Amino acid sequence: MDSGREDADRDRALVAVVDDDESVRESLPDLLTELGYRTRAFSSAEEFLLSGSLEQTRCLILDVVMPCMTGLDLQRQLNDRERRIPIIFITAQKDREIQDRALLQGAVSFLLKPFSDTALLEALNKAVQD
Amino acid sequence: MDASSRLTKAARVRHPHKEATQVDLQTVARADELASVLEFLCRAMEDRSVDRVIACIHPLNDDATKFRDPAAPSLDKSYRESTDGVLVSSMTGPCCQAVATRQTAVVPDLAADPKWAKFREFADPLGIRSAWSTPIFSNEGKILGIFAHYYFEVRDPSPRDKRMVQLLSRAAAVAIERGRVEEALRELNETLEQRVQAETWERLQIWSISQDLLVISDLDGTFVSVNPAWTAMLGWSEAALVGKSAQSFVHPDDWETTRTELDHLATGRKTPRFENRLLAKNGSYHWISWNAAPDNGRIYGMGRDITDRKRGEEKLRHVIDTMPTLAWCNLPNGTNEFLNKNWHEYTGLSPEESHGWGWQTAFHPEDLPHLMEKWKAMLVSGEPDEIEARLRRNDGVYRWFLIRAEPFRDESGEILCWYGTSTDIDDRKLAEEKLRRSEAFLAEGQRLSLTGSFSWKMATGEITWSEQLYRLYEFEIGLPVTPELIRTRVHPEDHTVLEKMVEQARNGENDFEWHYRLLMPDKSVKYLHAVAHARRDQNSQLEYIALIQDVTQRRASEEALVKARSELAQVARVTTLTTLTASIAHEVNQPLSGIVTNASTCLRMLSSDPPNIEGARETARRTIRDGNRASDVITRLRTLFSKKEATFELLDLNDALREVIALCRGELQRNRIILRAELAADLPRVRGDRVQLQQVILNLLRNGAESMHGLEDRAGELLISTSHEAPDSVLVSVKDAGVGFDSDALDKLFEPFYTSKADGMGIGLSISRSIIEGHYGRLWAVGNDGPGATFCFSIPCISKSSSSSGDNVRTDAA
Repeated sequence: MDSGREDADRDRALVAVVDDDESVRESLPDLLTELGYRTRAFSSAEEFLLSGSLEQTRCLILDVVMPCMTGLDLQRQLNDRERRIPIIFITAQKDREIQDRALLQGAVSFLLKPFSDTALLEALNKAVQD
Repeated sequence: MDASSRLTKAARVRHPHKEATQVDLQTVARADELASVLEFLCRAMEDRSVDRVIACIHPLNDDATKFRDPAAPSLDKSYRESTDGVLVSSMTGPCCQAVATRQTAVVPDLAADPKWAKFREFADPLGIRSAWSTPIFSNEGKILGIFAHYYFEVRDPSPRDKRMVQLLSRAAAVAIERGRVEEALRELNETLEQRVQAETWERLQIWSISQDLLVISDLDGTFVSVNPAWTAMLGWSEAALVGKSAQSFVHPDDWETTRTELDHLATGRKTPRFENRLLAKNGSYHWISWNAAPDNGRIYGMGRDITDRKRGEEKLRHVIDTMPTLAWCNLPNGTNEFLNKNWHEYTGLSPEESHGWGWQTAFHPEDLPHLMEKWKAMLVSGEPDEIEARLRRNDGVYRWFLIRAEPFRDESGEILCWYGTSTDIDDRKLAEEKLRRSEAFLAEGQRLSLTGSFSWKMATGEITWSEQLYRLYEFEIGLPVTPELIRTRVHPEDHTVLEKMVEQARNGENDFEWHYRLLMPDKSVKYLHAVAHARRDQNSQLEYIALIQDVTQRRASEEALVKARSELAQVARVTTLTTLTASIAHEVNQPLSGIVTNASTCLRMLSSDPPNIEGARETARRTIRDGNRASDVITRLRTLFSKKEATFELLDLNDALREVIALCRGELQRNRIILRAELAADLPRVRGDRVQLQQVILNLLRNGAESMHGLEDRAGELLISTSHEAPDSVLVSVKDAGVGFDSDALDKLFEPFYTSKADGMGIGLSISRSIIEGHYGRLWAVGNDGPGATFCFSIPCISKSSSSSGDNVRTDAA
């Protein structure tokens, strides 16, 4: 692929951020924009599902612990709908079991907060390439 | 008088010659005196004899050995005197010979035979030349005497004289015999008279010296004769009594009875004893018991003074009646004779209703058969005994009584009567019932709760075990218990505990408890919990009553519970920690990740071409904001640790301490930690939160105990003390003998999360410190000279002189 198309892809790629934490919804999209992505933030999994942005979402940055539908639930939902959106999980808790499940259910990456921008970039590249 | 004159006299007396063929025997019979009869016969002889003769009759005594009372009318009394009492054996004269030979003795010539020489002494002066004696025989052939004849010349007796003598001898015999009879009668009369006199005198003596009253009266009671006792006893002279009626002297109340008795006697009936009172001259009355009998128009009576006995009886009756018990007297046949006043008052039965067999009605019908059985058996056996039965009170209520009876015997051992008492034991019975019930409950309770009990009398060393205790120790019930025996069961590791308990007992401590184990023969272990209480028995002797419960099961459960709890606590801790961690993570990570993200964004923004200053500024702003947020979280977490707000009050640390000690004493003992407390007297009070300070003390005690867990070579002793060292603060120390700390560890002790314990969270000491600091005090630890460490805290106190205002405290603390 040439870099132009990559850039174009990247320009059009929508990265959705789903986190009930406001500071994340505040800070992460800016970082993503600096990284060259289009981004949209949602405060809950339900909001994301109802948003209609599913088609366009090239990557999902997803919190684990959320009220009502958790990140894993959303992951399952998408799997059931056969929506193969690459997911990067972000969480404050280091829980081996959750991590394993998430990865088993097809997550691309599992990041612990706070994460560096380098780590995020790596995960994004992996997600988008797939 | 010379011989001739004697003779002359005799001649003069001689009757005129009479022809007499028969002597008038009737004359003889009628004649009174023997002597005169015999003289008459002699004269008859002399008169009828043709020759000049002197006749004499010599009677013999009864056994014909001696002459006596001679009749010799023609000779003077000198002859009679010399012949009276002559022994036949002397053979003085022919008379003797006649007696000896029982034949007529004829001596025609006295001078011829020399053997009459003695006789001639008498005979010669009188001119008597010959003599002949004829024995006088009774009808039975007994020789009664001698008819003697004296002649003045030498000659034989004439046949006529001989015939005369035979005739006269018969009369003489009759006379002599009659004389003898009369003499015998006379003698007899004399003897009798003497006898009578003697007896009369004796009777008189008895009459006089008798102390009992003797009286002879008329049938109507008039005194005829009274003995001196009347005067001695009653003071009346004989004259004052004789001729008076008994009524004048008998007590008016007793006259009726006496009158009746007199009437009985008058009809000839002998009366049984009766009693009355007689008036003494000094006005007092004597009780007299009379025996009287009638005889031929008179009454003969004997009276004994029974005043003392009567008084004694009265006193006894009074005692029996006032005795606070029911008393009675029954006859040997089982019937009742007497019941005391209390009996009648209690049962409400009158004497008439209860004498004889009437008393049976007072007893409960259910108890009566058994009572009668026992009573009848006692009457037969004669042995004293007792029985319990219900007696009906006058209000109808039945109460339990103890009835005891004893036989009363006379000298020969015969039972005269039965004396008995009936005592109210209803309360006792009830108490017995209750006791029996409670004992049954106790035994059952002990069995069910696996609790045994023992009593230990300190003075005698006597140890008594309940059955359940034997079962606990698995000893044979009833085995004599000694300290050595107990030691064989007590776990070797707990022998020191046992000794300490003994020491406490010897020191006379009031109440104490201890835990110890038994090592059974099958090597199993029993856990026992013992509680002892000191008491004084009825002799004021110190005695310990202890209850020992087998808590093996409970302990197992408790240990399981403790384990579960600690596991739970562990889990809780872990959960808390996890929650905490999650909470911390969540709370802190949020701002943190915000910071990192924003910072990254900021860098990128600044390094983009052209740099996005505005954006960078925004991200920097957010970063600062998030940094503050994180700081707030930390602050909040800290507050979380110190929990609720403290409430300050004035409190006595010793009191607070004692409460804590009471709380954890059991736990400490279970872990064989010996806790000693040395609390200063007069400790000044402090201002603080009671619960928080107790939490600190508890924490220190627990830490100290845990440091000594598993000690084997020394006692796990914990010493807690309070003191007023500094003038403005009090000091509390908890000293253990545990593993202790090395010096650098001592510093870190109070840091949160520092712990040397495998399962400890290490929050305890840091929280304790923050509590103490909240009380304006200090908490620190030092290593001991010996093993272990001492944790101390000091907090400001209220000095005695100052008032308890909060400002003062602060000033002190500052």
